Amino acid sequence: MSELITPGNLSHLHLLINHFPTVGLTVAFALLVISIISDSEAMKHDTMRPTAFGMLFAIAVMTLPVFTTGLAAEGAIEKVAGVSKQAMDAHENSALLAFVVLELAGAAAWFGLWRWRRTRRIPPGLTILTFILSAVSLGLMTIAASIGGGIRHPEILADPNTAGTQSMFSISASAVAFFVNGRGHQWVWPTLESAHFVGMTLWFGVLLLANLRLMGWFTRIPYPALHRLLPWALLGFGVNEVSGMMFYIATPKGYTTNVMFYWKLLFLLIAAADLLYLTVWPQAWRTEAGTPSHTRERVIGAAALASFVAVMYCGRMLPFLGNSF
Amino acid sequence: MMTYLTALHDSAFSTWIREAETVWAFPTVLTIHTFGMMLLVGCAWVMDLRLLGVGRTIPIGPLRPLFRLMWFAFWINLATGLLLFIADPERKATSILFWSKMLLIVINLPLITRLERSLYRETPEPTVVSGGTKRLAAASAALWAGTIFAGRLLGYM
Repeated sequence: MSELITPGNLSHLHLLINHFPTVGLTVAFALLVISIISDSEAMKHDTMRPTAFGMLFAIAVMTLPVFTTGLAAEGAIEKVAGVSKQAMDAHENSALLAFVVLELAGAAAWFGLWRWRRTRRIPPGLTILTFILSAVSLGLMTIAASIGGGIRHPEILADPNTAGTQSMFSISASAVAFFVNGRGHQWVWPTLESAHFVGMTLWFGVLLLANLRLMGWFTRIPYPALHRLLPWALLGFGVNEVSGMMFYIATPKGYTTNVMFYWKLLFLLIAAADLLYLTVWPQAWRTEAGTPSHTRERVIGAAALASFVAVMYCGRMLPFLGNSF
Repeated sequence: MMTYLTALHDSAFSTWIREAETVWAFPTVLTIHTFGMMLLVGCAWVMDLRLLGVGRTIPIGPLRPLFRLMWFAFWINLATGLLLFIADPERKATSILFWSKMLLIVINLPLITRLERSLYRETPEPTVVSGGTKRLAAASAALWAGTIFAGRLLGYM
């Protein structure tokens, strides 16, 4: 796979998957709005709204590789004539704020699904919160996408001279990098690393027990009881997303050119899909004490646990197998 | 003492773990150590969360095999930890972080044994968790967090 990690391919990948947080988010948001204004009880509680929430969580997760391939794309075109570094920085900074709000929307959507699995109802408060956060992130994504489009297509800008103007709706990536890496901040990186290990362990503990139950161990435990542990897995995920993104923003070149980083992202998507599976899978919810397991759940659980170990392995091997740091 | 540590550092085995141009030496030992940590502390925290009141409907009796998993992971990490010490004895033996980490583990192991014993002493299917058991669980969970921090920071000092 190493030979596929070229700036051109990563740039291409960025242009392909950036449709998740733009086009995908628009579709998910539209479904959410329809489910809110609809009179249909089924749309509100059984079909459309849980679907919209699931899509929002999935899009929030998919946006991780979108953001991280963005800086690789920057490496591909930074020396091309007519491409301005300022425009790319403006795109990155506005995308960073949009990303943060989208991740919060994804977390709110996840909590909605978690409650929905237990009560078949998404609480109104979580619906309102998810609506607001996804509306704001859609607006911010539109700004980020527009600035990003202008990097190679200045003709779409009302005034091409505005290319490179920082949007007021942005987070300075260089300020984040300075916080993590700057002089006098030597404690920040090791502390974030420690938190990253804590988050990983918490997520893995919950994932292990829940998947093992569905795979046929711990059969005396009813699965719905274990479902209560899942927010702690999301907490671990969240801690690691924040700390991991700070590492990435502080030293992007250590990751964008490292094949292990892309393997890690791939396995991370599978581990995140497993969290969604553990949260909403109907057969899981019907697994009472004594319910035997099925081959399908054994395959899913084995794949998920192997993927989680692979995420750890790829992360641990970043300095050894790739060229990081 | 330092003479022995230096001799250990200069031994062929120590040099091989530390410097061999293969992922099967230092990187693999370190990765297995990380896996053991994930398994040991992951199981411990899930157990502690239950005892502290998260997921009260989870029956405690069937969770007992988690203790066996923890001990399995502990022995993995004792072995890999020993190898990591052999690879770098002088720096580790003189590091306050290393000895803090050892101290935290030495305090935590009897806590875990006591936790298991007090939990299952009267019945294999306990339904109530006593205040004392809760305090043990909270202390053990916090000590594991401290152990992870000390171990991780050790890589940077």
